[in-house]
Parts: sequence; C-alpha cells; structure tokens
Amino acid sequence: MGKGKPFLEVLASAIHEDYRFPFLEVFAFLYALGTFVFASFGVTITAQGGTSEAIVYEAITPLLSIPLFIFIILVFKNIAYGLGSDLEKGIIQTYFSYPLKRRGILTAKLLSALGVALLIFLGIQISALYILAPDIVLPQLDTVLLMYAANLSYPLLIAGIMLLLTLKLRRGGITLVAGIVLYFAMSIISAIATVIAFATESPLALQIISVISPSLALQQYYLGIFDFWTPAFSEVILYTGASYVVVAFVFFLGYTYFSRRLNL
Amino acid sequence: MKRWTALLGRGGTVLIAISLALFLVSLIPPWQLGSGDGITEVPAGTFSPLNNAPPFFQPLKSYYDTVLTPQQGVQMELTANGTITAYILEVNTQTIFNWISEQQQVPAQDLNVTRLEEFLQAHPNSIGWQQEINKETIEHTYIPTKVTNVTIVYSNPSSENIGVNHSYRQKSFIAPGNKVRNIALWTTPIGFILAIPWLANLWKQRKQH
Repeated sequence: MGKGKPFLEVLASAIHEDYRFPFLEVFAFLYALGTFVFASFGVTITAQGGTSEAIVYEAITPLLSIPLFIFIILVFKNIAYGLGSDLEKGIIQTYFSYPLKRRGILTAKLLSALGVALLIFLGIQISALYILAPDIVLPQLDTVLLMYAANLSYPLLIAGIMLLLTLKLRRGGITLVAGIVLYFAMSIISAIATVIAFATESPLALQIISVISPSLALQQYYLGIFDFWTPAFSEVILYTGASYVVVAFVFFLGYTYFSRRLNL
Repeated sequence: MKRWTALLGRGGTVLIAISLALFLVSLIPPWQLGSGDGITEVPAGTFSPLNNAPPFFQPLKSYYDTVLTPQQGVQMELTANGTITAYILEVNTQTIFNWISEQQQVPAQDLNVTRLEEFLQAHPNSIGWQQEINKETIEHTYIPTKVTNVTIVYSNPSSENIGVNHSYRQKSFIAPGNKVRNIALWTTPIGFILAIPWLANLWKQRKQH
C-alpha cells in the first residue's frame, strides 16, 4: 500500500470528526451571512479622495470582521477539541498503526482542522467580493490577497500556539480558553502599543506588534492613522513575510514535538 | 463510492446552507444613508452639478459628491421647469473642474455647457446614466456596478434659465438583492441534487440502527 492511501484514510477520518453533520453547514451559513451583512458597511466617504487600493482596503475590512472571528472559533474547536479529544481518547495511537510517519498524521489532522476551514472561509469571502464588487477582485487581486494574508497570520499564529498547548497538555478545554484569551489579548496589547507609540512618538512598539500582526502595518499603510509612522509597501510585505516565518516556526515546533517528543 | 457520495453530499448541504444565507440576505430591506431636497438653478447655456445648498444660500455651492458601491444606490426624483439633460457621472465634481481647467486652459469654474460636452467626449465611460427632462418629473434609482465616485450634473443648452427641483435618498442594501437571489435560486437545486443520495444513505443507516 502506498503512502497516499493511509494519508487519505487519516484525512477522511479527521474531516469526518471535525465536521460532523451539521457543523460544516452551520459554519458555512454563518460565514455567508456574516460576510454579506457586514459588507454593507463597506466603503465610507473617506474613500472618496483615496487611491483604489485604499478603497479596496476599506471595502474588505468590514467584510472580514465577523467571518474571521467565526473562522477562528472553527479552527480553535478543531484543534483544541478535535486533536485534544483524539489525544485524550487514544485515537491518535490508532493512527500510529498506519504505515504513515507521525508528521503525515499531523499534516492530515491540520489539513482537516485548518485547511478545510480556510478553504470555505476564503471561498465564500472571495465569491462574495466578486458578487458585491466585481471591479475589486480582479484588478486589485494582489491587494485583496495581501489583506487576507495580513489578517490571517495572527489567527494562524494562535492556532500554532494552540497546537503546541494541545500536544503538551493533551486536553482541549484549557487550550480552547487559552486560545480565546490570546486572540483577545492582541487587541489589548495593540491598544497599549498605540498609547506607548503616541507617548514616545516612536513607532517601535507598533513595529514590534506588526511582526506578529501585520494587519496593523497594512492599516497604517492604507489609512495613515499615525503621523510618525508611514510604512512603505515593501515594509508591509516584509512584516507579513516575517509574521509567516513566526507562524511557520511555531508549527515547526509543533511538528517536532509531535514527531519526537510526544510519548504515546 | 460511499466516500464520494459523502463528499458530494456534504458539498450539497453546504451549498444549501449558503443559499439559505443568501435568501435571508436578499430579504433584508435597504436602509437610508442620507437624503436631500432642494433646487438647483442652471443658467442658460451652462451646466451645474446638483447643488445641495438651501435656497437662501444658493450663491454658495455645495455640490452632491459621494462614493457608491454596488450595495449603495441613490433614489432620486427630478423636476425641471424647462428642457435639460441630467447626468449621473462616475467622477466627483472636482475631477470635472480640474479637467476643464487643465485641458481647456480656462478657469475651472467656467460652466459653459460646451466644456461639459468636451469632458464627456473625453470620458465617455464616466456617464453612469443620462436622461432628458422636459418640463416633467422623473424618478430613477441608480446603483453602480463598482465602487465609484458619483455626482449628478444638469446640462442646460437652451437659452432660458432653468430650475431643477431634486429629492434624493441614498440607500444601502445588504447585497444586490436580485443577483443574490438568483445565485441562491441556482445553487439550491444543485445542492439538493448533490445531497439527496447522501441524505438517503444517512436516513437508511439511522433506520437500521
């Protein structure tokens, strides 16, 4: 038997567990509803004098708000409860009997937990953008993709941290709470960083935050809220790239722990 | 085979869920973002953007300039006491004045009707809608197909001064209702076709257990 079939077996089993009927349908419904309802607050009068990229930014920002939160809840549920309960109940040990390396098993679990959720999230969002403002999606595709990349990096980072916590604690409940706390902590940390930046008139605090949450740099690039910091477009790309390096490192730690240190 | 049925079936149920959300979205009524009523005096042989200034401030100009999206529209009612042409242009008034000033080497506030014609010849894509009004009242709702600046301009090539009464309501829609409803109407049957074999399987299995 090739490696492909056991991988698909684990993936199918993970998808079956993570998206039991009607979980997937409820989340798809909420994604679609959230996307359209909040999109209506779209472009404000401030876009009038702005560039077309700034208009795109202002159009997509409200579109992202609630669906991104729904995406995070779904991913947290899948990682904390899905993987957590698999570890608690010993289902992971069953997978170890498959002719598949440990990293293959974790990849299948993450593809289900993160990949499918991301696919539905992006599928609905981009389709909605195409329905609502067809002129935005195609001509400004690079801006649209950059916005999604910048806004998704922090949730992915928390997902990585949750993966580590789940593997370490082997429990879903505590990890889920930690993930939600971490997610909301970012808004508090951003507020503190903003106060510090204003007080010192130095963008350092905001730049540090941008390394893990590049949406802040992107917001500053398009809207220019602070006078003392105007990042260049290349700088925004750099922050986004750096944030994904951090995300990749956290997932690498997760893979290393799962492959070598997890005693099951 | 069973796995393919499950995969297609779940795809179908997801399509049904999304269609349901789209149906709900299409049922939400629009809400008003802003409105304006007033009169714009258009002297003979000139053009003028819709003036929002109250009648006693008419010498002051407060032109109607806004940004609309495919989710926002302007519903208007225009009444003229002569023959004029009303345009909805997908630019802001400043763009028109700047173009006249730069291209025609004349002061920006030269509102001669030929300047507008020259601008429209140079920018035919900027015309979102146009209609001749001949001593009558017309109603029109304009919803752009893209995110765009919008202004309303009256052109009076006649030799008489004309007053145009306007009443407009800017509205915001959750989504372009017809478009969203059509998508939902197409995806719902596809979803059911995909989901029925899987749902039937599920029903059989539940019955057996």
